[in-house]
Amino acid sequence: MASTSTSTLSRKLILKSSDGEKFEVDENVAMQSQTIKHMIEDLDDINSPIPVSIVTGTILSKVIEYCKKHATEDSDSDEQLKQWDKEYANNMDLNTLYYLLLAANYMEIKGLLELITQCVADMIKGKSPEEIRAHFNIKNDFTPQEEANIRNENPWAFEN
Amino acid sequence: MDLSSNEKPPYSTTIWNIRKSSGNLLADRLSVLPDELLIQILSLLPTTDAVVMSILSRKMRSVFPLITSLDFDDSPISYCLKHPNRIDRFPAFVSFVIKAIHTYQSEHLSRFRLRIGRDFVTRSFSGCTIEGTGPCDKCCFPDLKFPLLNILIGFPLSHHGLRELDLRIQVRKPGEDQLPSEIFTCDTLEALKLDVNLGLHQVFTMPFFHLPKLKLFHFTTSIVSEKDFLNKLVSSCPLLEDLTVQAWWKDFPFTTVSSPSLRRLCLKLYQRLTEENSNSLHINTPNLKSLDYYGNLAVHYDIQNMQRLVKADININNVGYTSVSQEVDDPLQRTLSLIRPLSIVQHLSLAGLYVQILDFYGVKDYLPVFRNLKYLELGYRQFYWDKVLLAFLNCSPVLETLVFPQVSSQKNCDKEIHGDRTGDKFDPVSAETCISIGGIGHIRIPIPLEDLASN
Repeated sequence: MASTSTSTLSRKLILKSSDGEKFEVDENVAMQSQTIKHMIEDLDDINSPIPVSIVTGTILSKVIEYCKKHATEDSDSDEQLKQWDKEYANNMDLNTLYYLLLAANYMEIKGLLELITQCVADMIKGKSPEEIRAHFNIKNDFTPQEEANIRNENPWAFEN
Repeated sequence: MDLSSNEKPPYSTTIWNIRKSSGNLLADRLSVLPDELLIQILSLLPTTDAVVMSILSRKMRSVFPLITSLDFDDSPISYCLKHPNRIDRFPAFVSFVIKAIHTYQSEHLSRFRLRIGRDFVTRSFSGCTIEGTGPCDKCCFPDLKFPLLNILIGFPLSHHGLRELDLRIQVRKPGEDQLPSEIFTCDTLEALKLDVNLGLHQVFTMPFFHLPKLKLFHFTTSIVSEKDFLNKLVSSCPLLEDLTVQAWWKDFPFTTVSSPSLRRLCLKLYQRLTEENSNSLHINTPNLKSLDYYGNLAVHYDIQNMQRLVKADININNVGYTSVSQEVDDPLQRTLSLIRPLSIVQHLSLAGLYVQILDFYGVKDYLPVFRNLKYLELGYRQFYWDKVLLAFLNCSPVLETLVFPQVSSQKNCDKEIHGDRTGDKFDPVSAETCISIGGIGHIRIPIPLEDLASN
C-alpha cells in the first residue's frame, strides 16, 4: 500500500466476510457503511482485513455491488440510479432479501436499508391477510377466536 | 428512518434463527427479523395494511403499536350523494383511525398522513360532476365534526420527531373551523403537504412561521387571501427545496418568491379576471432547477437568477385586463419578460390559451437564443404554431425533440409519429428544414383518431 498521504480516493480496504471470503474495495465504497467507517477510525492499520462478522461472502458481494454503484453516483442521474436500485432489488429472492436487510442494518448502510425495507413493504401493500401469509409463510399462532376478535375490531381494514 | 438515534438490536439470536432454518426456502423470514426492522417495514405501509399484518401472528401484533408512521386514506369511499358508493363506510373509517391512534404507543411519530375527501384538482375541475348539471355542492363531502378532526390533526403534533405531515381534509361544513396554526411552528417538519378546506385565517395572521427544517411544502387551498403569505413562508424556511402552491389567488399587487435554497417551484395560481388586475410576479431563485407556472399573464414579471434552470413548464391561461396605466407594456412584452429569463433551459413547455400571442411573423427578433434547449413542447388548443415554429427552431441550436401535445384536437390519443410527417396542417415545416436547422431527431404529434381514419 502506498504511503498514507495519498488521496483517500485511491486507498483500498479489505473486507472479510463471516465465512472468510476477502474483498478489496475502494475506501469510498466501504465508507458508505457507517459501521465500517467507525471501525476504520479506530484502526491503526487499515491494511489488515476488516471483519464483517455476520455477513457471508455471497451477501457481502451484493452489498459491495450496491455500494460501488452508489459511490460513483455522479455518473448517473437520480432517475437512472433509482432504476438501477429497482432492478437490483427485484433480482433478489426472498432469502437473499432477508440476509441483505440484516447486513444493511448491521453495516448501517442507510440507502440499502431503505431500498430493501421498501421492497418488502411493496410486497405486502394491498394484499389480503391470506395472501401475505402465503407469500411469507407466516405461521398463525392465534386461536380462531382471537383472530375473529381482531377482525371484528377493525372492520375497515378487513372488509374493504 | 433515522438510524443514528436507534439503539442496535441484538443480532446474534436473530441470525442464528435464520441460519437454523435457512435450508427451508419456505421459512418465515419476516417474523424472525429484529423488531426494529419489522417496525421499519410496517411503518412504510398504509396503516390499513399494517393492521392487516397484525392479524398474522402475535409477533406482528406486538410490534404494530410501535410503528413510526400513520397513514390513513379513505379513498375507496365516494362522497357524492348523487352517486353513493359506500359512503356508509365512512364511520368505519373514522373509528378505524381513532382506534389506531388509541393503540399507538411510540413517543415518536415521524410521518402522519390523513386523507379525507377528494383532492383539489378533482374537486375543482372535474370530480363529482353530473353531466349537464355541473359540480355538486359540498353536501357530498364527508361529515366530520371539528372537535374530532382537531384531535386527529393535533395527534401528530403532540408527538416527538414529526418529519412528514400530509393532510388532505375536505369536510362538509368547515364553517369557522380553523386549521391548527401549530403546524407552522413544528420545528422538526421536513415535508408538509396541505390540501384542506378548513379556515386558514389563523395561519395567515400568524406573526411568523418557524419551519427551520422544512424542505418540501405542497400547499393546495381554495383561496389565499393574505398577500404576504408566500413571501413570509419562504423566508421562514431556510432549507426549502420544493415548493408547490396551487390555489385560487386573490389579485395581489405583488407575489414574491425569493429563496436561495429552492430547487423546484410549482405555482398554479387560479385567478378571476378583474379589471383591477395589477399583479406582479417576482421570482429570485438562483438554484432553481424546475419551474412550473400556471396563471394569468401578470402585468409585470421580474424573474432573476435562473442560471441553473433545467426545466420550465409555462401555461398562461389568460391575459387579464390592464387598466393600471399606459406605461405597462403590451401583452407580448409581458409574455416575453416571462420567457426570456428562462433561456438557459434544456426542457421547455409552452401552453395555455394565451401563449398564442407569440405566434406572429417576426417573433424571432424577440426570442432569446435557447442555447441548451433539447426538448420543446408547444401546445395550445385550437391554434397552430405555424408562424412561431421556425423562429423557435432558429433560436434553438441543439434542439432534439419537438412535441405538439394538443394540436387541433379535443381528444388526444397516444399515436406518435416519428420523423417525416410533412405536407399537412400539423407540420408546416418539412423534415429537411428541421434537420438542416437544428438536427431534430424526433418530432411527436399526437393525431386524433378520426383524423387518422380520414387520412
